[in-house]
Amino acid sequence: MAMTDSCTRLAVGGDKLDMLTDLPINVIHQIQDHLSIEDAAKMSVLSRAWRYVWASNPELVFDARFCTKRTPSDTIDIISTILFQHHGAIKTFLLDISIIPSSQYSVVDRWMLFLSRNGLANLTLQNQNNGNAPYKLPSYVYGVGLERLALLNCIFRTPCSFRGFHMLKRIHLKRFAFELDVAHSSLWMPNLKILCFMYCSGLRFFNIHAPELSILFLHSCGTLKLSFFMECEKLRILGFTSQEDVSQNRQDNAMNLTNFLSCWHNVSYLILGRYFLKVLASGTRAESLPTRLTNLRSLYFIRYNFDGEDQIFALLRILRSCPNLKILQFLSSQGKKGDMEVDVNYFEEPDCAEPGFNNLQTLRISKFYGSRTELRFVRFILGSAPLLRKAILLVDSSINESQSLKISKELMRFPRASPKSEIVFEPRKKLF
Amino acid sequence: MASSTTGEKKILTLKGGDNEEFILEESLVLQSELLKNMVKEERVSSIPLPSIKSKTLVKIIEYLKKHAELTPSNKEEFKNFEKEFVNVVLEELLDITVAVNYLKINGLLEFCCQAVADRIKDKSVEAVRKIFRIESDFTPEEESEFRKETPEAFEGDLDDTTN
Repeated sequence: MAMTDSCTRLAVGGDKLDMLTDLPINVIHQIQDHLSIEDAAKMSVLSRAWRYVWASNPELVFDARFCTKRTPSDTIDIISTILFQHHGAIKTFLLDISIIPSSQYSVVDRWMLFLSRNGLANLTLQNQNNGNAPYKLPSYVYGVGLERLALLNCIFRTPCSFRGFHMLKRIHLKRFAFELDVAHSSLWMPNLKILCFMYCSGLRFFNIHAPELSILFLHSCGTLKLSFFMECEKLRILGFTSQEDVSQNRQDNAMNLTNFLSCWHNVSYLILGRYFLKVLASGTRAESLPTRLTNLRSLYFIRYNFDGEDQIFALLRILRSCPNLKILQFLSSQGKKGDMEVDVNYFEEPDCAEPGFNNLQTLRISKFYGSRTELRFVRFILGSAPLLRKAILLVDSSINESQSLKISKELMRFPRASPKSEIVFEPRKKLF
Repeated sequence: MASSTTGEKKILTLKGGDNEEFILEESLVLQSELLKNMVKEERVSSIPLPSIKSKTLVKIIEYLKKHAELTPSNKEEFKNFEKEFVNVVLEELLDITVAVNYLKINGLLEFCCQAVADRIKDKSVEAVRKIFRIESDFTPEEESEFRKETPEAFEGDLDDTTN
């Protein structure tokens, strides 16, 4: 039987097609995408018409569940067999290489070579195992017209001639090292919309030009060179966070953040880690930021510390610069429940009289301790946000019932600027 | 079926395979890429869909209505509705899937494919053949050879031909 017959349309079985076989090929492939590789592969022995149906599915997913089921060498054999039996383009390829020992990475290289010649557009490589050596992307991958790239624990060593992925729309890199042959490299990615880097090193050697970028998220990426994002005028969602406090000498880079925000005037959604909030808004508290973030609607703080004096300054400064803010969230506020000697009177000083939240609708603190500073802050918001609908305060599990009762009594007494405001005060559900 | 003629809302007629007519708000059909393009480009008020049985069309319209009412607060209810929606005899499910693919209602197509996949999942080749009434046209020799070629798929499957 000729292969081509069955790959274009399943008409081989004669006139008497059953309903499943009669489905359009794109629907059959979509159904197989919801099956395990084993179940999908099994379908190739249903009947003659099914012989090459699965082998022509442009999506191949070898996830951790599949790869950890058997010994590494069996897994490698099976993946090789499936790849070389495949018929037609493989557009989407996901592989978990965690169980493949680094001595055998050359096999993965060979798969990559095969894929690079078979229409690859979406590539995901996961290397979850911390002990496993990072996988170095082979040079031929850089010649592929990738649209999506997601890599975990890999090395990027670009060939000198590499100018960037021109078709790339999304890039997600985690625990990733950039290595370069030349001192500096410029990558031109005219179609890039989403860039998300976590725990990446070697970024400072790179210039990324992505004029269409709309989502940028950087987490614990050490030294940032933000200048290459300056031209990204279409940025809408922005996140800068880090695991630990970045040392002082790196401040120069992050300091620029303040200036950059004036270039990114379309940002409507901003996520800031503790350190970045501090450097973004450092300065005397009387000043507001040099630029007003008029399009900003949602502001999220990660690991915010209500007990830090500099954090309060920074918070006030940034709030004053966001006149159209609708949602303010503290995702995992940090710190002891004890009352530090923070001068909580900041909230009542004259320069606070003009708060920027005439449009604020939601305040949410997802780990609320009820400390003096926190309470003053909530009172400040309740008293000055005329359109506030909800203040959601999720009490940390370390606060016992009687303490929490005391806090709620105090909360109820706070004057409210918005007649429609509702306070939701409840225990935080444990997620993990 | 629905014959709401409220206000200035645009009304559209869909004609099923057996000429039965369904009158509904134009905004509902915009979930279908195919119908959306037809409505936008040609400003038609009646669309014939001869390849889709009326019975199938009734189901799809029911889904479109529920989906249009979806809000964050009734998510649970919608999920239950979806579950019930695909809890039909196999022929009907496949009819719906084909129609939804034709109409290009992507979210529902994804859901239907999952539902079909659920009926294949963890079943032996024999069982899948039986459920979907697929006739094997292999000789026994051919079949055992093909099975050998893809051994990873048949682990623990060799003696399981009952269900």
